[in-house]
Amino acid sequence: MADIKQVNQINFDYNGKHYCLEYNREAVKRMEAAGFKPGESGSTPLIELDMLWAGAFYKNHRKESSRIIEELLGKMKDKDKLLEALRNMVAETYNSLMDEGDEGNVEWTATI
Amino acid sequence: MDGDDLTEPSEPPTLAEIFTQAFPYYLSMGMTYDEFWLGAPSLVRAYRKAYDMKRHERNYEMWMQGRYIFDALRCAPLLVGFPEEGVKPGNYPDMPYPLTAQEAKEREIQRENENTKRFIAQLEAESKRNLEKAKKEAVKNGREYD
Repeated sequence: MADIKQVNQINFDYNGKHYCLEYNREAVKRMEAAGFKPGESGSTPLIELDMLWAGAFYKNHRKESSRIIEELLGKMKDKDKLLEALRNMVAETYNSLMDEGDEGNVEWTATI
Repeated sequence: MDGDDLTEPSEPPTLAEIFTQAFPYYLSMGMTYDEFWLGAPSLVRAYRKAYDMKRHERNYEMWMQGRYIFDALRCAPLLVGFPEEGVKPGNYPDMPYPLTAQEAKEREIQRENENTKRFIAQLEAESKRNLEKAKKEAVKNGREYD
């Protein structure tokens, strides 16, 4: 089992299609422009999860419809863990600029 | 009023601002726009590591250049002010300095082999000379030399 703190990708299959969710800096920039504030205590975890989830599609599945994105989120099990993984993935876009570590790419296969 | 700070507490920078601020630094390392903004976030670590390696390499090259210049000056003491009487020019290294311990060891072995070969050649030449001398003396004294 991958360490949730080092997850850089979330992989799963749905309806015969493979999804690889990850962030790049452009995605995080767009999420912030849309109102996402990392680490803000004011927003509820559900709103935060929605924004993080949608933003994670930007890098590899930009053209996916918002209906499917919502549907997929609804089917995800263990949302607490998912939220933690997504938060850590966003943090990686920032931490990689600051730290000296070399965690490499760790994947997490999500369960639907 | 005096002592009152009327300025608003500044907002912490957004991630987008931090990225935008860091971007030129990575551009200077050779990272492209797409790699920085659209690529895997962890790629910047590899760029930093490569940049660090390049800086060390450059630093080492400059240090080596200084040593070569120093050696070159030692070979020409007349060029450096007024040398003391009897000062002889040194020898400029006949090949570049070894870069690794392995290379230094190989050079040492090579030098030892060359010294051994030179020593054997000297012994052979001396023995040949002695033989010739002995032959000549034998002829001179009317003896046969075996």
